[in-house]
Amino acid sequence: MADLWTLFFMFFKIGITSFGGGYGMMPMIMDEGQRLVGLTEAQFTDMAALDLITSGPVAVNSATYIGYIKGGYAGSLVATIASILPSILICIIVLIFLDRFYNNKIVKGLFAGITPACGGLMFFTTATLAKSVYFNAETFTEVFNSTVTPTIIGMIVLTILTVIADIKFKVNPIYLTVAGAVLGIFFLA
Amino acid sequence: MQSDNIPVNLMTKKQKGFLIFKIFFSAMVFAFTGGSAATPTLIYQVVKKYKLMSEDEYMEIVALSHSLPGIIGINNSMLTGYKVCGIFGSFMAVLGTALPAFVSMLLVAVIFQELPQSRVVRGAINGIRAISIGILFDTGLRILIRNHKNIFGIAMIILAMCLPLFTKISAFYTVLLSGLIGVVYYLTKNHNNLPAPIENKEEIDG
Repeated sequence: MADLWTLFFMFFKIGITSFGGGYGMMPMIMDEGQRLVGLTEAQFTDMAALDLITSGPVAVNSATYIGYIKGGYAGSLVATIASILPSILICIIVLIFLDRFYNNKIVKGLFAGITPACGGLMFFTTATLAKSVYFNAETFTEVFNSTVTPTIIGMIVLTILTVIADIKFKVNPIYLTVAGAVLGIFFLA
Repeated sequence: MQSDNIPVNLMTKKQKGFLIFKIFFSAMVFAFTGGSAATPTLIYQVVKKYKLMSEDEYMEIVALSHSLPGIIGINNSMLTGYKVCGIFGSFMAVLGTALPAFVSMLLVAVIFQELPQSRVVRGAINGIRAISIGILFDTGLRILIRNHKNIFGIAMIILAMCLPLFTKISAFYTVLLSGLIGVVYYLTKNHNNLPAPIENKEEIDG
């Protein structure tokens, strides 16, 4: 069990430095979660999937889930509040200084650097998850030494199909999640 | 609800607050994949049905909430609520946005933790995890596709991937560092060749 202050601090820190909403926060939730509250890659992957079948902003869902598994009901409430508090504070600042904020060169420069960095961090996240979720490995050297089972191949194929269905055919992610669960029961059990 | 029958300009502040809560709550309940899924519903409710502001005013708020740090859905509800009836409106809109997300995830989390460890459940979880990795990868891929003609953007993508992967620098410091590099780049280079924003117009329109 992580203590409530750590959860609060973690989600506040993530909220104030993340751009691009829920998915922009994902790499930081994984990284800080591992460092601060002992989140495992499997727990993180479950969270990312459950985000897709629950209502409302992904970032709030993620905070609620991690708060709950690491700190019970109190943890879920604390993490949720900590995740939305930075947005509230930033909007108050913006409402006071709206024009000056929006046309500020420093602010524009920050976006220019952080927006593509979010993309790179997503690749870091998926590489780390692939390592532990497919191969159950701690390091990348372990991945090369592990034996490839039909379940591993099945999961990799399912991931590739998801990428194609999502990017090329724009299938709603809810249907993909449900299809993944059904296919998993038949082929990955 | 009786507030449906009163024109918005005759409403008291309290009635406006509850109306804005109802709008955000009902839009968010059905936005399963994330806050941006609620945008088309919110445009309909805020602009067309209740005429709380013009479409241009609302789209300005949507664009601003995408470009601010923090949670897009919460930024949007803060700014929309404030425009409709001040701080009280902001509070009610944030509550309407956060409540469905909190309650639905708490329910799902409790159920998920209590699932029996059977073969069937393990298979379903394996399937969901495989899908989830694909969706996360796509988020990065979309940013890469949007920046494929921008050398600075591609360099930042590679840098942000390699730093946490091969060094001990955390994702948090990678973000701070890339913000710093962005500021230096912006202040020294011409401004026509900037990386594409994280959400383009079509995605905002839903």
